[in-house]
Amino acid sequence: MRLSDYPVVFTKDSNYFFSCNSKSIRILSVETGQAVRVLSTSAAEGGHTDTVTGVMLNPRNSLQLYSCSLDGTIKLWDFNDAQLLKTYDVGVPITHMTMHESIPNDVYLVTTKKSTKRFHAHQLKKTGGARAKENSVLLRYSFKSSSRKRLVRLLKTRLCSGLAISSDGEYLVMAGRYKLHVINIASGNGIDSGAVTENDESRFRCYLTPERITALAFHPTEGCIATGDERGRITLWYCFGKNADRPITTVMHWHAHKVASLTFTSDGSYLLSGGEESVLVIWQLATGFKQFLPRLGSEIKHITVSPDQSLYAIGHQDNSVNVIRSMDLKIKTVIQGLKFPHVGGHASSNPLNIGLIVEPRQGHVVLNGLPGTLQFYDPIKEQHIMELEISPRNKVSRADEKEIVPPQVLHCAFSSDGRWMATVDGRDDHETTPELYLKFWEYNEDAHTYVLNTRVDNPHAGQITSLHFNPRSGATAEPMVVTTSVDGKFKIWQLAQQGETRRGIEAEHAWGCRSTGFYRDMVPRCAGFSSDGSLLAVAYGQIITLWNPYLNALQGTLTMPPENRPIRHLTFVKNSPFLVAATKDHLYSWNLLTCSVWWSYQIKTERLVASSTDNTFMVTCPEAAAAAAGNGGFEHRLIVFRPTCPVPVKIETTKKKIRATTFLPDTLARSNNTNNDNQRVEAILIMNNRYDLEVLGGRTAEEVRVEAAEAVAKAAEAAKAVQEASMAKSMVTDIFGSSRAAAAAAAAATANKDKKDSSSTTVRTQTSKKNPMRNPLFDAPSHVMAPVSSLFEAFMGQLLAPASSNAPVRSKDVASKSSKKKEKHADKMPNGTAHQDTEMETVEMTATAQKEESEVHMDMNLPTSLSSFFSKRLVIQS
Amino acid sequence: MSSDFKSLTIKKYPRLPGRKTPEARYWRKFKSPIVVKEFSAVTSIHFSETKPHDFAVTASARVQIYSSKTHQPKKTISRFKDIAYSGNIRSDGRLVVAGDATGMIQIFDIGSRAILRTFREHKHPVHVTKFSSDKTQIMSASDDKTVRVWDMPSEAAINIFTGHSDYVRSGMVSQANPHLVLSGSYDQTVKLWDMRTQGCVMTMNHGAPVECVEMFPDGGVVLSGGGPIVKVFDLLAGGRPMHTLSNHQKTVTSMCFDHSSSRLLTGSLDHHVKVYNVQDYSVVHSVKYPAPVMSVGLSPDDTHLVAGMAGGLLSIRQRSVKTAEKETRRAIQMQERGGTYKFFVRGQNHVPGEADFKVESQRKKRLREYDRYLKAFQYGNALDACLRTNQPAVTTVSLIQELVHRDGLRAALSGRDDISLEPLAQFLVKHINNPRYTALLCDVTTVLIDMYTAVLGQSPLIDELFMRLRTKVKHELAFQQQLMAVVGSMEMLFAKSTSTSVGVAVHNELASTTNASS
Repeated sequence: MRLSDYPVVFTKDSNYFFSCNSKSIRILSVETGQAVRVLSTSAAEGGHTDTVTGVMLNPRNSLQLYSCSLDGTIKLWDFNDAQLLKTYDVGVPITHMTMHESIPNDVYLVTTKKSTKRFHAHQLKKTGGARAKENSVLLRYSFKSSSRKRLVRLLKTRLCSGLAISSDGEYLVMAGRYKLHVINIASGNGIDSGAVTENDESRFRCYLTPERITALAFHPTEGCIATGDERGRITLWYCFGKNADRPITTVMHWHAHKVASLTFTSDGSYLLSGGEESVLVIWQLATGFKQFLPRLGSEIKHITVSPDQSLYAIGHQDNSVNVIRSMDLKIKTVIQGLKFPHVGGHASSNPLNIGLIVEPRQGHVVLNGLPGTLQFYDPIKEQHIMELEISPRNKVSRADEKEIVPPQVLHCAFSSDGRWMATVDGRDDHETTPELYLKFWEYNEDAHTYVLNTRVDNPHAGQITSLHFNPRSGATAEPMVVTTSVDGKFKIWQLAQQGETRRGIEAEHAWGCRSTGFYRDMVPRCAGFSSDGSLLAVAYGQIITLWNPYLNALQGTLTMPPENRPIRHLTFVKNSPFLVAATKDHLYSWNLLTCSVWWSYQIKTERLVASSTDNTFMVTCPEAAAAAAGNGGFEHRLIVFRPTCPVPVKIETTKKKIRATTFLPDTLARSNNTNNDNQRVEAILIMNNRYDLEVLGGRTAEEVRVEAAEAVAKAAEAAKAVQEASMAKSMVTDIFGSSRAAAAAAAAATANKDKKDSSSTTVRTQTSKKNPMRNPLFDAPSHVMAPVSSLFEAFMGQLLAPASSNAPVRSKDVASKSSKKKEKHADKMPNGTAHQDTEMETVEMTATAQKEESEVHMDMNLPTSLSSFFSKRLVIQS
Repeated sequence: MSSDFKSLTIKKYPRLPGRKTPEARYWRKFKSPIVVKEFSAVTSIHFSETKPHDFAVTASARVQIYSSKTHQPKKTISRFKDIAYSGNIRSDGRLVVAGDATGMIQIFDIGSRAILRTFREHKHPVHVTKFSSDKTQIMSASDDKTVRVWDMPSEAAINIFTGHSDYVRSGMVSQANPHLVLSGSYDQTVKLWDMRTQGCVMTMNHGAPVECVEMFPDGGVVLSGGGPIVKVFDLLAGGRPMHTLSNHQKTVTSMCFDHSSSRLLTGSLDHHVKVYNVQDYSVVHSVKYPAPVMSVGLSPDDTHLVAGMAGGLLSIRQRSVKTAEKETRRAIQMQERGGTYKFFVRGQNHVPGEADFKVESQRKKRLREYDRYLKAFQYGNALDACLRTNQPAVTTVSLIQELVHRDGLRAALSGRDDISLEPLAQFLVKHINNPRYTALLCDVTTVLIDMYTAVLGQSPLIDELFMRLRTKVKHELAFQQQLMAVVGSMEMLFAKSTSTSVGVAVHNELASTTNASS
């Protein structure tokens, strides 16, 4: 969603405004800031096929809207019904468009000479000189398909930075670099209105300026043109009538940097200007008095005044539009899109450091926003949720050419319950001592945001290479964080009490370093916790070291000898004993039960992301081998694997470079279809090279809405069914016995069920045999029951199905051995632990005895604690 | 968004652990010791129980009544023929009793200093004279091994307790029961006497000559000090010793309680006054004095801590009671009289109810001076304002950090003469070796040297500061080198003990804590 690439346009009644949003046009309400309607939604329904560069109300009918686009068409819309009325095919990409009511059949356009290239402000800024070769051509296009030539070329210039028409429709102004072209397009001298051609020399005038013109505006009532230049000066040109040859100019200088936009209010008494300083300056033209609206958040790109002058809409660099009341200069509405990480600097100065992270609490995506901030974004609804300042500061614009180095957020991680967030931010201007902060944030339920809890200055002596939370959750689990750094150390951070409780005030909690570890003299590049939190893997060069994070003990090391390349990515796979590691061109899946490589793949891995909900992981790889065979362009692949087998689950290819990617867990989808979980792959969220978010798979906002409605309907139906069932008492047994749907329905209406249960005890005893959860053994009060040891056999017998049907497939001797062990344990121990232990034993046995077979039930019989298993294994080996 | 100007974020650092407990913070509030020189050792300090809690100080042949407000002697009673002992003020604050080395006990009127009664039956020096909680009686203990209780109106002894086998140097009357008298003697025992049975009812062995005794106001527990130990006896359990406190190095000479009897103070010849929590008799604080402490006293309102020393020094520490003052002031303010300004603006702390219509007014936040300059981009002025107004160091450091972030450090440092450069140079000299600020201040110093090297040698003031800075940095470097050596040798030991190349050191690092939104 791009809101502020091009100036917004208000409707006649000033209640709505139009915003060009790449290929579509959004109509947004001033009151609510929500999109009311979207024009040009898809090319199939007659929408634009390329970026819309400008919109304009039809001067003769204010309920219609013209839009021009780089695809070379002008379209006329009825925006109330979102209907396409007409399409004019100009054939050249249009960058600027203007028209006037006195010449209704003509439209003046600016096009660029090189038609294939796109025309973007930030690209211009980036490439600078190379782009300057590109020419802009002023054209006149006639809507009437009369005998006259439809497309007339009027003027060629370099880099058009503005096109405006006077309020009486007599003059057209165009600015190109150092030149200001004024064209008399009025009728007279035997020429019809709007019939000027390139050859009418007398009608063209050109003024030279010392600085490059960056903004242009025509005074609404007087013969006056305002231009803003690169040095921040605003020049008023009085160049009509007798001043035509020697224009009188007035210079107003406040801006320190380029003037990005200029607008007159419609009565002509004020001039609004803005630029990089993010200050809106309101010039009172008669007196020269200036009024300022500072700290608008981001650089100003466009200013639009509403027709009734009550509102100013300001388009910002950070993809937002602020609507400001002109009466008190207070902000009325803020419409914020996804902030691009590079805004406020070049893409290189603020890269997408943290990638895309899914915040566990709401499922929003977290990514870098403005330098020093994180933004929370809902990719499905395309809503900007909030911005969190990691290093708060006042935005100050640079004093001279040198850019001010902003702080950057380098790493971010969330605890599994979303209560804690850890961030690493720093600032390095290569002059002063680099700053590095590790910050811990706690979610505040009242404020609905993360609040800083602990700041650690210089947590490591060098740059931090990774930051991870221990995913173990639960009441007893202390939150734990690991950081690795180029100083060779990894540190484990833990929450601790600071100070003591006194006078009813709870003791403060703060994070502190609990332990520091290192391995030989090597540099750790990445780390990860197993999903039960009992094992910490830190990759040192090509060696993976496995640690017990609670005891600080080295459990083992994993190496893949033939290859001597450092491991770049490392992740545990959720709910499975597998560890996935990737070097520059190899991908390994380690089985931690056997301590061996389960499978490997020669593949150039760019990133490696594991799903947080199921046992899949994805890798992205650039220019796969197939790309050469194709049309020669780069191709980017995105492959989803399961750790158990090297056959990919899903492959996606895209032309655009992938900047970041993540799985997008969908809580609603999980609850709906749990049965086909094995086949389903989660939706994947991608940010491509143009900083657009794409969702592969998964559902769109409409689908979510429809599904929610369906779910509501279903629930209502279920409730109804239950009510019917309760009416007919004879059917109760059937409901409980067989029908699964009815059982689910019963769960939805537990209140009804409870009522039923109490009504007839006979029914309950009948059903209880089928339902193991309601065991009659324990119906009696505890003090009259037989001892647990004598109840155990009966209880277990009820709980477990007969051995022949349920035992996992394995060879006979192992089975007998383990069953023997089981008996032994059962004698000694109380039921719960005995059960658990035998399971552990079986896994171990199968793992050691039969590797190839274990693949199937490895997934089912997971050891409860990997590390406890590990310690056993190590003993056995030694 | 047209957001408000964000005022400077002051960095927060964690309090260093173990530095200050709340207890220590409380006792540290007894500040600004006033030291008065007396003629000889101050043997006794006793506070009046009535306001304004004046105190009697006994030294040499005089008893002086000090005012707790001015800390000056209000009255001096010097009508003793020999060294005076144990000046004691009656609970109504009108009479003083004191014994002397001749064995005479005198009662004075505190206002006129007139001798009202004289008791001459002791033949040896009387070290203890105390008013009984029954206001008409006094008790005395003497080197003639007797403890006596006197009736003031009749000027005659009521009881004569004999049973100690050595000098009796300490004693008191129980507050809970005026019939019980406690005495401690150099025969290493503490004895409890009952005036009704005319004899000793309990004997407790202290194990050293007893210098002082104290009894809890409820009369259940007795403390005795003598030698380097303090013993605690439970009277209700028949004098069973409960605790022995041996926190002092030398003889404990004096003891007292705070007003709620929740803390015990002991003064000792080892120059220390120690404060114990009576829950578990742990030392919660200790105060060091320049000479052996002979006597210690704490005012009943816990505002004055007075210690008398062997060299004749008297130290008076005072704690200003802010919260109490506030409370009283608030109580006065609560009574609004008609016609006053307060009366008309009353009800300002009224909390609006659910249904009330609230008219909101925005309060404008006042910016600090340096923030105002920062807002106006006057970096040099902001730095000056911060240094001039005696801000804590961390504020200045935060400001410098902000200037670095704004790329305005050079602008702030440039164009200074020796007068305007001095505060900054002073600041650098003072704080450059603080490990929290070192990195940043080194950057500042580098820029400063870079800018002002050319003009060095023109101002003796700045030259001297630069030289001091140089020596300070030199010392710090040497210190760091030593530390590195220590760390190196410790690592060697660790490596030996783990025997592998893998080591995990567990240590606590200081994590900066910030709570509020910053």
